[in-house]
Amino acid sequence: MGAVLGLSAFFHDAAAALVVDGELIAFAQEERFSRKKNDASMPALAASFCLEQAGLGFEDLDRIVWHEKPILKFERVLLTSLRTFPRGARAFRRAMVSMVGDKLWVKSHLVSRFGVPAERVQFSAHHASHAASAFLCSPFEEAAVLTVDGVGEWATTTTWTADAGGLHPRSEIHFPHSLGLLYSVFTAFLGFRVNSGEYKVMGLAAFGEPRYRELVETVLTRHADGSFELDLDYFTFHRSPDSSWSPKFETLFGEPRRPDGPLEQRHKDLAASIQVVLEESVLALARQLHADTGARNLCLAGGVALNSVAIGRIIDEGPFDDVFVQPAAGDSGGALGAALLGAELPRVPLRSAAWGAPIDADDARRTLDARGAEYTEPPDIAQAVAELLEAGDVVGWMQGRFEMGPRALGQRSILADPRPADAKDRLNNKVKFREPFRPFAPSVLASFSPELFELPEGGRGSWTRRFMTSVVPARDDRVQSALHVDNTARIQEVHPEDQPLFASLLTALGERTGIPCSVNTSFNLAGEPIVNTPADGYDTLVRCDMDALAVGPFLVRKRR
Amino acid sequence: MHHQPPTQPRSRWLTALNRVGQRVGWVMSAIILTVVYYAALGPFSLLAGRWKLGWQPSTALDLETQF
Repeated sequence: MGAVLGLSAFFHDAAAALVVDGELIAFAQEERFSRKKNDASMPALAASFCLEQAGLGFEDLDRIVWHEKPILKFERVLLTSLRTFPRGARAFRRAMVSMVGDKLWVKSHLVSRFGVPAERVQFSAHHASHAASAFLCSPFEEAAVLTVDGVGEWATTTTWTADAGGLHPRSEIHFPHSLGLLYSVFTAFLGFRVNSGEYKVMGLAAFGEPRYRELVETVLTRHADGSFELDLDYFTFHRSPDSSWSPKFETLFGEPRRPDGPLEQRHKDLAASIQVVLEESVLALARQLHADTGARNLCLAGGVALNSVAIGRIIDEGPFDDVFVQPAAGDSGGALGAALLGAELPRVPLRSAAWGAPIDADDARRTLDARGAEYTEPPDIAQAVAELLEAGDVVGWMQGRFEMGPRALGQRSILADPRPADAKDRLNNKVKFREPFRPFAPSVLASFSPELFELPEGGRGSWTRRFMTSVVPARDDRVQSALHVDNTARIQEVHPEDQPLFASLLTALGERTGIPCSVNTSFNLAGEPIVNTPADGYDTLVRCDMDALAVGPFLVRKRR
Repeated sequence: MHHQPPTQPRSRWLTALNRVGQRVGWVMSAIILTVVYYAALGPFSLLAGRWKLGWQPSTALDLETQF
């Protein structure tokens, strides 16, 4: 089995994962090291970090597995150009330059960059990588697997069954018929950035009514077997490098919103409409998969699986006993799936998302000293931070290894007391500098979670709640700053056995406030990746109105 | 003060000619590329088939090939 490095890159969110003798050693996104948000370049820094964690070099690798198949992807690009001829001329030219000039030659890149022999380089299909990351990281013995994203090689949606015998492919839906791309078209139409603004559409949806649902269903037809098709007259994403929708689309939905334009009720209603159509499309896929396989459990991956509202509906209304979504369900997770496929499908049930680079106390001390920071080393960092949170401070929290995926899960988080009504606005206006309609999430001790939230019966969906990949309604507004406008929250349930220090902090906070729950938002400023090193954390503290930073055993308080 | 040397009539003509040449070159390359694009892709576009609709069979798991 040996050492297997999985890599994903060249679209967005490049990442590396290392599996040694069937054990997951490390996973990291390139952006955390390069400090470029959604960095898509070859993840050399992330790969080096993963190998460092195992004390290995590139020469020690038995396999490098790339997360998709470049020639199959090239075939899709070429055939798309031919099928859209002659209107796809500009897309063809740009794709050829990008593919033939660079992305097609992945094996050469890996050989020349990392010095690995060509025969050790392998390729897993894009959705196979997603499916492997979904099932092999799950706690289930058997499951159906559903992957939904923009597009891989040809597939945009795939179904699988999985058990002790491995992953068994069933069927797939091909480009350009894609729920992920449809959602991205609306993301762009609403003035947000594709591949990172989809969360904003999901957040905005709660402020609207799905008045345009029927219009959305004009461009997306769903069939009784769960499959779907786009009416391509309304889209240009398959033939244009610069636009995603046609004039006919604008006839239906009106003028697109400019990125800096005001958010009108129409935009909110559009967001609500595409959101509800997406939810019901994914729900239909899940129901069909259950009917076809009779599986008790469902694992999901692909960018659409990061739509936590849709996942919440699958848990609530879907036919499966339980559901699992790993925290890096988007394209970065392809690296994890590729590594697991290359390692011959070991099971690595995730109890925590902390697989990135650790905080080193000596490094933290050196960094703080070098920057002339005033800091203390309290006897109990959890108690000290709880005290600050109770007093109304906003605290940066950097402990242990950083999380996989886009969510902060108590390793690189900004924390606040969820009770005050103004905590959300304070976080938004003075620390995060992001749109006021976007919600924050609560981290809560798992044992206390049923007090605050209406959870599905029988613990359904509890694995998604470890990683903030599903949404639940709140019982009341005791943690109002962590709730969205529709009184729901994308909660993280914290288990003391898996995250002892973060659980200690929540326990200490609960002893003071009666509620072992904190607002938890990612430790970054708008447009930046989540912090990695003590230097990243301290520099972020200085550039915003955060009150304090807890990095390893040290506490830095901003002088007022 | 920095004084530009007066432009000689001959070099003015050469500059103008150069500009015209650039424009002609740009137009010609656009025409050639368009012709090549149509000639090379046009016939194949007739053979490219149609988008596949509905559920398709999946291919088996395989790590050895790039396709």
